Amino acid sequence: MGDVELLALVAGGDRAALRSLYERHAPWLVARLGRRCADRQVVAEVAQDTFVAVWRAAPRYDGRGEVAAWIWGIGIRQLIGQLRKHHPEPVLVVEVEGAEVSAEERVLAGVEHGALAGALNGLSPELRAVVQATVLDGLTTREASRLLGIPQGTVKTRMARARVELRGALA
Amino acid sequence: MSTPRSDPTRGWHAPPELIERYLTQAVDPAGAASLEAHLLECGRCRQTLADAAAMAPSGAATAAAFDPRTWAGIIDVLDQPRRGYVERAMAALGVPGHVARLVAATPALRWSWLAAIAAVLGFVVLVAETTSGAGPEVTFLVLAPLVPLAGIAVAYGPGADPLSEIAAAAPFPAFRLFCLRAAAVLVTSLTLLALAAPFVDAGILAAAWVLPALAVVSVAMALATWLPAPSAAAAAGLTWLVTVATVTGATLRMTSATRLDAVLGTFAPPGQLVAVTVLLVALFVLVRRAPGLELAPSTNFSEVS
Amino acid sequence: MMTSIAVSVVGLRKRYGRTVALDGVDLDLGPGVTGLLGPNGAGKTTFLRTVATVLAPDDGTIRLLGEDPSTAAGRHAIRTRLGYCPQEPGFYPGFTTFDFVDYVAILKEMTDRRARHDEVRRVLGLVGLDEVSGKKIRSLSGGMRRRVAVAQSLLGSPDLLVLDEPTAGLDPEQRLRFREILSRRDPGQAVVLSTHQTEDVAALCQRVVVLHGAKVHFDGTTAELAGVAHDRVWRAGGPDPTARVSWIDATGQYRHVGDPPAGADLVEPTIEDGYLLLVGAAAHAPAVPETGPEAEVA
Repeated sequence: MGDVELLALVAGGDRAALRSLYERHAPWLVARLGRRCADRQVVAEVAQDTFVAVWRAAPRYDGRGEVAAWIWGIGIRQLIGQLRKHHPEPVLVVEVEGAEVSAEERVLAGVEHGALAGALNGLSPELRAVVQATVLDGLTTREASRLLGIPQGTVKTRMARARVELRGALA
Repeated sequence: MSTPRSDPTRGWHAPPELIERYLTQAVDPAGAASLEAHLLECGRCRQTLADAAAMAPSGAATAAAFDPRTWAGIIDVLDQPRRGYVERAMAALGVPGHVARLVAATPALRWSWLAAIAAVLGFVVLVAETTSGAGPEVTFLVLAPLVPLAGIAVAYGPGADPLSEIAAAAPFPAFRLFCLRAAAVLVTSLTLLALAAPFVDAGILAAAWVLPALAVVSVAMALATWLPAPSAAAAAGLTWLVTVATVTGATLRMTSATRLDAVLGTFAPPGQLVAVTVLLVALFVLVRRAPGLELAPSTNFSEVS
Repeated sequence: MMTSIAVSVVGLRKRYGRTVALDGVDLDLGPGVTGLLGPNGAGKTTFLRTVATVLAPDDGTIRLLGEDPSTAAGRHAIRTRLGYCPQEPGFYPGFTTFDFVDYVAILKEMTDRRARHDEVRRVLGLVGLDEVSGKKIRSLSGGMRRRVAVAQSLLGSPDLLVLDEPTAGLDPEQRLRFREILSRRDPGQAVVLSTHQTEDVAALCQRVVVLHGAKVHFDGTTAELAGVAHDRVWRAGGPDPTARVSWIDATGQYRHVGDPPAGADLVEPTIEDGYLLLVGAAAHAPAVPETGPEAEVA
């Protein structure tokens, strides 16, 4: 059964359908949230709150776009809400020393982003975090500032700098 | 970031090593970004990630695995009975959760009943604002004590509590439940009346109804230890109206006051004192008779002991 | 204090105006399932309501779980160990399944929220309704609503369970599910249920009491009830005016209950035969009921 059908069942109060959605989407959601927030406790709570919110908001899913993207929208905003309360350390995109870029990844990155991938990897962590928050996660400036723990003005200036650098790298 | 329809990566799925490295934070940012974008659209890779997370022994990966304790936490929240405004207000006042739950189910507290009362009061206020003379004030004062009575009658009228049969077989003391709900009705009706009163009369008369209202309600509650609640409420209401009529008649005969002023005589200080006395007597009766009383499903109080 | 006699009733009498609902009932009920059989108006509901401490009798001695329900303290003690599912359970509009059972749990004085919610989930699981605990009751089917009503009666694992027509309006599959629920009960529990269906009695009850015309006409095991009709049931190709009760059974032949003529084709009696014999003897039952063995006395 597809996600859209499951969500429709959830909207009708079907607990088993919610569980199926949870089994399908909780793992990637937790993994992706974990790359935005280092505190595992907070991420676990946010995952819970997200699926409670999914249960309540299911009737309002308008059918446009992937269910996963809809769930992510709920999840990242739940995370931002939690960060307001608990102020854990914001996590920038994690850098691992000597991370290998495999041939598949290069293919994938090359097809998905072209030269953008290399440019993205070449950005400093602060700029990359801003790009990830606003471009990849689809947050507004305000939401990004809450997620990253920086003022809105800083978000804007970093985005501007990132754009300049990316344009330069792609030129 | 979504792949266009003619994109050659259609049919591409993330290799397991990529997902492993994603889960252990050993992937570069662009690769992570690509994978995350892909995962939003590909159920198969989502499942691959879920399987990988379930099998990993430790580290960040296990946090991503399906955790039955987290699911239990979700169910726990979902199951929480949703608290309406009434319950949350009570919780804010320090009322224990379970008591608030019992009271909140009171039929008389339902919005429709409250709306009806508010409409009636609104009408009286409107009349007061648009007409002159003491007519509206007198109407308000005479009718005010009847408002909480109506609420109690509705709360315990026949068929008003669909759970009466089950409640009768439950340990929670029946009369205590009745008193809790009557208190809720009383508080809400008194509040509504208090809000409307200043519009009817800015003077001291704005408060002259309070003690008589309390007295009338306490009489109804005391009578409810003998009669079904609606009958008790009706009897108390009737007694009130008869009292007002009697006092008015006597005042008219003995003085040269106008009709309206004669009615107001009921609310004069001597009347207030009488109200206090009646209130105390009724409360005394209530406290003496309350323990051990049953609330039979037909809303009779039948004393068994 | 565990007493083996859960319900002890002597000389129970109750009347409503001119109608006598119970006329001197004597019964002792212990652990296990006791079925109350009888037509409507026989006093079944009155009896069950009395046992559930909802109704006070006019006369008689009652002991429930060793306590005296005529005192407030006794009633309270009984009610903490009692579960009751009335014939027509009512619901608050807008309540979900969970809300409803949770509310009754509060009435059963379970004040600790965590423990109470766990108990609510437990009984909902027992009746197989855990998946719909978030649904509004008004959106549930009749069979599910009855299960919710049964669930609330199971709260707190009561020592005495009183069920008034728990299978009324249920289709055969639902009735089977109900039997499964009942079979999961604690062994020391005493269950009293009323029903029109002799199949329920046959499947569920160790003991059966036949109530008719405000009196007890039979009190014994289900086998003994069938035994009442021993050698009193026969088959024939046509009607037999000497029979007390007759109908056409599934084979298309006539089944007669009463005093068989010589040489009659005797058959094994069922509980229903015994019941009909008793009830038919007590009232002037029509010679041929309107429908077959499934005759429901409305």
